[in-house]
Amino acid sequence: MKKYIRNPLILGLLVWIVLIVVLNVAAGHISNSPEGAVERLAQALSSGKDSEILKSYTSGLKEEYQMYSSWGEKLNVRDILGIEEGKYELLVQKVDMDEEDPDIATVVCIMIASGGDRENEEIRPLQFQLQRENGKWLVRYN
Amino acid sequence: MKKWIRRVQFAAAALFSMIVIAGCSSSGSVVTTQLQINKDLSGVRAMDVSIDGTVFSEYFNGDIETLNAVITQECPEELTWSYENVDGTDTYHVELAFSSPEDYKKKVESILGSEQTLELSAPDSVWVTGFRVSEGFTTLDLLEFMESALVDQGLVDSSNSSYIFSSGQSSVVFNGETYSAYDYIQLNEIEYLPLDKVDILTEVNGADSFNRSFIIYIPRTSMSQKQEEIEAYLNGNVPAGASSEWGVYEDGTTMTITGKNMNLAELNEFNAGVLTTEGNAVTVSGRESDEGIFTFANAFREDMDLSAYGGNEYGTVTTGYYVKVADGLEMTTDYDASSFFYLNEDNDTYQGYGCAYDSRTSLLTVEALIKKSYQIVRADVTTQINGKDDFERTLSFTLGQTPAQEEQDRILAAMNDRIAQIEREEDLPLLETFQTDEGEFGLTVIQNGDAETIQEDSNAVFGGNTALGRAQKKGFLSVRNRFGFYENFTYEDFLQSAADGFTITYTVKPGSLSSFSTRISDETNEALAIAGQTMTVKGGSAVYETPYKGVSVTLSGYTWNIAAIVIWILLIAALAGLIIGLAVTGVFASILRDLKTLKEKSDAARQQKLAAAAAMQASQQYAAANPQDQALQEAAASGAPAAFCPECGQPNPSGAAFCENCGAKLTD
Repeated sequence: MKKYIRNPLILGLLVWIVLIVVLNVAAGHISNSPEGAVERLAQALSSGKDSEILKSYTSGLKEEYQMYSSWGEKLNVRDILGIEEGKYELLVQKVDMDEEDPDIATVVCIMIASGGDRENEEIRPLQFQLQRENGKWLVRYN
Repeated sequence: MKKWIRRVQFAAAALFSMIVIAGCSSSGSVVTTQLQINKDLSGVRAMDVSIDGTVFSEYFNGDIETLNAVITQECPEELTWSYENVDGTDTYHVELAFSSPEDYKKKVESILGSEQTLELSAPDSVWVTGFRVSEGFTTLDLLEFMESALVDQGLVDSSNSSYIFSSGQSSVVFNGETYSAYDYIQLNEIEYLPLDKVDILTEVNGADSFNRSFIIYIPRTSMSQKQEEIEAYLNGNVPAGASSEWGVYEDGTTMTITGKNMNLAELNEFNAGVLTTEGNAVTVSGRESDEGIFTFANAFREDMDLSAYGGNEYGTVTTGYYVKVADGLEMTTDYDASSFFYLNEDNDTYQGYGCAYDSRTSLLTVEALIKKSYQIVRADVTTQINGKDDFERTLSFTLGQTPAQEEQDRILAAMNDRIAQIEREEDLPLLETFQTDEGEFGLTVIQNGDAETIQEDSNAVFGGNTALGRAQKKGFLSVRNRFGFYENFTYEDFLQSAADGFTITYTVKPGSLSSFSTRISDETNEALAIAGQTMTVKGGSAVYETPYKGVSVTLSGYTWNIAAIVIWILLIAALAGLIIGLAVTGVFASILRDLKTLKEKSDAARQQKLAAAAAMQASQQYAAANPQDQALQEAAASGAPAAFCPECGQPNPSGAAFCENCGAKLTD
């Protein structure tokens, strides 16, 4: 076995594998950034799952959602946000960090939404305010 | 009765008092005035002051030399004076000479130290003859300096100052005839020959190109009175280069005097020749237009003195001012001017002309803004995406007509002024002009930079609001990434002079290794067509045509990720290399050899086990056939296989070295 490990080609392959693992770990860290937060939001909106969408937003949305629920209204989070069903992609154009508060950022992006009741792709520029809450970047709700 | 007696007594007392007062208030000197007006409106105002000798000695505390010294000292420079004594009466002759009404007014105002009303005219035409004078001051006002000086120097007691002068006769002499007047001279001795109308037709071909006709409507009554004079007068008023034509209308005769293709100076000469008065002037001055850089505004002002045609006692004549502007020109109100301009296009008096004025007047002023707009027939906007946030944007605006060189210079100067507002020194938008094969003139602006630079530059140069941007999905190992693009702008201000049928052709190119994938549904295409728009998206570019003055486009597409492609190629190459390497270096063969040896060993062991099992079976069979052989029986009972002789086949007890039958050596 030792003679195989000493072979430079096999060693090279192992290095590649390790590199890919490292990159994946690094990507995990990158995901906790304003850009990552917007990406998660796109995934959450596409999934349509209330829990996922709530996780992407600051706590205000959850509180409002719970308030509606306590009134007996059966709304999903998309209804509160006024967002239609479909597949969402949020492509980040630029990120502006707040000059005074490092926990606030503005993300300018292009939304590409498809599916649902849409005849065509819906493409439009959007701007999100993000806030770091408990170390995690979230889309600010109100 | 007593009451009546008292009333008569009171009336008598009052009458007596008035006589006494009148006697006491008789003045020391009488001033007579004669205003002589010449035909050229120069003249002399002669004022004679006659002082009776007894009055002089009664009221004046000095002699005549002292008085002359005072007058010499105090007389305004605008006046001249002389003194003589005729039959015991001291007479001062004071004159105010003037070369024109303006000069007269100026001198009077200088003497009196305040603005004065003074109108003096003496029209001399077939329509109007005579003179008119209107003064807002008297001779006593002009000689007030003498009164003040006499009192100030103690030569006359201030209580008697009001008795120094009194007004005598006033008269005006014009053209050899004398007309009596009041202290405030107000005479209107103008005679008019009725005239129905004067129409002024103006064709504005440009800010410095005019056609003009005066059409004079002369009623039969006037023609019958002075036909020869009228014809001679009007024929004499036809300026050089102009044409004239006599005609008729239902109430009499018309005379049309026309000048064509006149510049401003020629128009002024033409007006002066026809109107025969001094107060005519046409001016045109360039004005900054608030309707975009392709519109040129010129402030137009025309003052006309029609008094030579004044056909009534007020010196006015019914005047029509009609305007026709050439294609591409417009005449509107100049809000910086003092008068409003309205062109009544519904007026059909003259074909193609609008009416700007129709009333009685002697002095007509027309103020308007002449606008010349070069219409933009199309705009071509191309945005080339060069990178993640790098764009080249080319905007071309084509005009239907080629402006004159001076106007082209003004357009470029206006554009450069806008570019100069950009607070940056490098990579400023480039400005170019072009000429199409069809002779159209155009302007091209080329912008380079990131989205923010493009937006800011566009806002400075074109006004309105421009926004564009591109965003791309960041997939490190994704070979093809999604991207989105948007651009919207509205140039309402810049495109104010857009022609009918104007279109913007907007093209966006996604850049190398990218293509658009946005699908335009049939429904969308139909909706666009209803609005006169089309949108075509082919991988390499998207083209949008709109008749509006703005564009709003959103697109998506894919772009190849070179880095990912390289990584994947490297990975695959590494794997292939590994496999090839293993083969080449013999590692692969070594592994195969080892595997073969292992297999052979495994086969040998298996054969050995089979042979042992067969020997055992044969031994047990042999022992069963030879129950007498104790050794075999023991061997069979122990499970040990018998050893067979390779030479004679004799089974031998296990562990025997040599065959018990033939003595041959037994193998292991």
